[in-house]
Amino acid sequence: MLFNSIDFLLFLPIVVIIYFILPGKVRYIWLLLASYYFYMNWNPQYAFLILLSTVLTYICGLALNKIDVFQEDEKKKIALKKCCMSASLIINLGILVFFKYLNFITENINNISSKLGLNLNIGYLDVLLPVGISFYTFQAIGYTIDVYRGTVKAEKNFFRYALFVSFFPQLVAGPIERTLNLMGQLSVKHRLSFKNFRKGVLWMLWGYFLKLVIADRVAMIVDTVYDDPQTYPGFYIIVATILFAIQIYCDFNGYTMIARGSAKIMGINLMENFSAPYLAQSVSEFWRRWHISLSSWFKDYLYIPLGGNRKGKIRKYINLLIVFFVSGLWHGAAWGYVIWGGLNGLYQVIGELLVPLRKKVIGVFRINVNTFSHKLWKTITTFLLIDFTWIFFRAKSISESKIVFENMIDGISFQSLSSFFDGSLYQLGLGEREFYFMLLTLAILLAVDYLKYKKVNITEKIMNQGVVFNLLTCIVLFWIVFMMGIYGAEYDASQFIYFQF
Amino acid sequence: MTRVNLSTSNSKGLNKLKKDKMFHIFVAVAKVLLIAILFILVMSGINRFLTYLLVDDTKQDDYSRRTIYELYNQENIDALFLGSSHCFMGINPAIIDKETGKKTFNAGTVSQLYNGSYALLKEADKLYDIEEVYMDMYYAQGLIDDVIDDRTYIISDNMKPSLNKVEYVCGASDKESWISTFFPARRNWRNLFDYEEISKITEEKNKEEYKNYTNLSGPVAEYKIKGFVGFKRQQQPEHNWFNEYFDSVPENYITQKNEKELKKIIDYCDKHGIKLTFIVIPMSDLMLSNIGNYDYYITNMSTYASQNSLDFVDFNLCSREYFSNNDTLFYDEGHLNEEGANVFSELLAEYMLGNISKDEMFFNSYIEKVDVDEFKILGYFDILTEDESRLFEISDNGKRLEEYKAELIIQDEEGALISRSLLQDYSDNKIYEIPRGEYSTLKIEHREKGTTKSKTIEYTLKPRKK
Repeated sequence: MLFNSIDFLLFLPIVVIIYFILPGKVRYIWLLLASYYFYMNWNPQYAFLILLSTVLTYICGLALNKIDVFQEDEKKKIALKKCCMSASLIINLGILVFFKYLNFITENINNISSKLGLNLNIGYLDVLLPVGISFYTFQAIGYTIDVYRGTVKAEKNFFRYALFVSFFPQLVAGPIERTLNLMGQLSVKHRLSFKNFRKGVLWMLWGYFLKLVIADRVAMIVDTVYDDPQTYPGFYIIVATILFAIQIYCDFNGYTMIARGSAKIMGINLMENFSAPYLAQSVSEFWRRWHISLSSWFKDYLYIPLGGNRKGKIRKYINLLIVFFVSGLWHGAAWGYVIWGGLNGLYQVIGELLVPLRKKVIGVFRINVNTFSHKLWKTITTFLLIDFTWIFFRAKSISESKIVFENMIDGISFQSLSSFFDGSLYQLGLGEREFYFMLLTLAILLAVDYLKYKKVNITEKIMNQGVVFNLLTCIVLFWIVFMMGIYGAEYDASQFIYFQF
Repeated sequence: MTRVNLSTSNSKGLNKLKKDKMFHIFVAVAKVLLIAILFILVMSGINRFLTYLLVDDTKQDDYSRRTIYELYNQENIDALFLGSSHCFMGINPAIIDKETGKKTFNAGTVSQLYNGSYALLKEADKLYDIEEVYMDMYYAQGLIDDVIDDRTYIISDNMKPSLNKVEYVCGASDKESWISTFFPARRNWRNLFDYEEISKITEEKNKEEYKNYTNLSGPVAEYKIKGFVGFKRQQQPEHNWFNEYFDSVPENYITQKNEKELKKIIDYCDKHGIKLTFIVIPMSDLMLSNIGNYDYYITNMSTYASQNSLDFVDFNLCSREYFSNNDTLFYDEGHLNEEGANVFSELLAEYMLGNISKDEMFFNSYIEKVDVDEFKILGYFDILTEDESRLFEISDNGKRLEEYKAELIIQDEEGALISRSLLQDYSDNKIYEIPRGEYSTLKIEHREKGTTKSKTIEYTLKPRKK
């Protein structure tokens, strides 16, 4: 069930009420049942896969602990642990590859074989991609690795562990939680707290604002242009690409806020996943602020094991590129995603390589890097670099990206710039006044993110103003979402973008 | 030295802890409830305000607003009429009240579906001692069940908050539409960007006519009394016409969903001792004959009614002595005008009093009724085709072999002659291609085949846009 559906709005209160009514000892069982019910709403068959992943990683965790305890020979211990973890990794990743990448692999083999004159023509499998598989697989693998490293002890309670893997607020689109953060919270009895309730509701409302008021509104323009780039070339594509950056951010952050809010009501804290990413002043800073749970996962479980930055610069850059190529692939089984990821990695490598040159230029021209203008310049440049890569993400295939690029370049001219301001912007799906409303919401988003970037804890500020102010904030947010949100029968139910991963 | 009883002090401490814990929970729950109540009150106020600003129910033809308001404000209702526009245009409660001495009410609304009828029946029955219900069973109404549009909203928007309303909205719309159906302000959210529209709406709503529900009168129709809306004029004097062919009655003359809704009404009336009667309000012969298999509907609906021990009275089968079906009684092909409604209401009143003998006054089928008719031109169809042409088709009742001669006169807007042409000399062809964008007169001479005595009818036609 989608977060922006009546089903979820009915589901959540029922789950929360029963959660607090039940004794603390059995609450996790209730959450587990609710989580599986939530997941099976997509497709009941999906439950078998998540259960399989859960069972495998659970057994692996226990086995790793047993090896630790009972195997006295250090060499054998390490070998056995590696064996156990490898088996778990292979099986889990194997499941992920089968469902997500098999047809992609097949397609590429067929293409290559055809170019080589072999014409293998391997058939495609008709498999449905289970929702959230990329997320829960990584979460389960993360647990296994944590147990392997000795960071955490294996969870003995199967049901509690199963809840860790399937906890419904973060099941289908993250944040990808860490064992240390989430597992412990599932073992603790959380008291019904009015403060948690207020905070949770506030976060959820903000999430719905991001998703329904901004992301889905902006999507109308993006879809109009990207569905027909020949008709909307040049500056239209530029505007649509900028708006896509907003759309994907608000869509994904919106989901995260709803997830965090839902969990917070029950007293459970999920990690922050976004921290004003578009105000970053470099690509590497952007990636410390965007999809934090995934990038930190890759850092801890791929980049560092590959050697990180401990094996020299060249190796560091290679590791960085590998991580970002894999990250791109994680997002989808298409070369467009790989290029997107690879570009982001490349930016960082080039960024690092250019550090000495930048320092020299700053020194020669005596540029004050602490001025607002300089920081603004860096922020805008970073945004444009990132936004460029979003073309590959939105277009979803190389050929589509090529069409978009060609139409974007071909359509740019002084004449087209003037016609751009003749009101044709209001023909892209939003009328004039609604377009200005959209700009207003973007201004609100920018203001909130700016405060966040300056480390102002807006939630705490609101919470500290008292109950009446809280209530007013919630009421205003609610009515904006209720009245201006893009939802209902007249629109296609707009799924969160990251559900497809 | 003071002795301290440790076990007593421990248990006192534990009790205090328990009490503190319970108190904490109580405070948290109370806070949540209080906030929830305040929240609901504030939300309700904001909803009303936004509805006031954004929802335009000030138009002259927003009859249902007054109908449902009056439904809640009667002294009593003995007999309730339910149905679609055929009902609220066709039954005048004032005449029925006068003839029968009962207090009746016409709760017809635009395109009312059976679930709407059920909701209104329950609303009325909550407040009044309803003894009888007459449901207009217009033949096509049972075929529509999957639309969520104004026909649902005009009922839900005007119903008072109640479980019945919740049941109606949840049943009439799918989940994705619940919010729009419960909250009319949400449906009209785009008006938030249209200050002129908001200004217009609020201005209209501040007028006395709107507040008194007396703004429902215009050149075409006027809200009369107790749900009855009198339509003043015919489409064309003595010419009944339509611009679409009528669908014949399909094999499944009622959908499954509608059958369930109808059953709910039947069961409800049965349970509450309400006498339910199915009726069909008269329609034009143009429509009835063009449907083609109208008797199929009559047969099936009669059977359905008798299976449920109900009366079914289709006034289209009524002898012309009692209801002439003249064009002058109709607003259009399927709806009575005010004069027709008054004539029909007197007839209906006689039926309600038990003064009507079905055997004497009603035919068994429409074919049987038409069988005793003389030749008549029923009206015409004015059809725009996909290939941009405009077809004029005469409809007669086929009681004799008729032949037609057609002359087309093209005029300007003032009626001045532009051109004249003979479309066809006498033949049995009844379909003519006429200009789409011109003012024209079609002069038709018709006579029985083999005779020379002809009649002439002139049809004045305005241009039709795409």
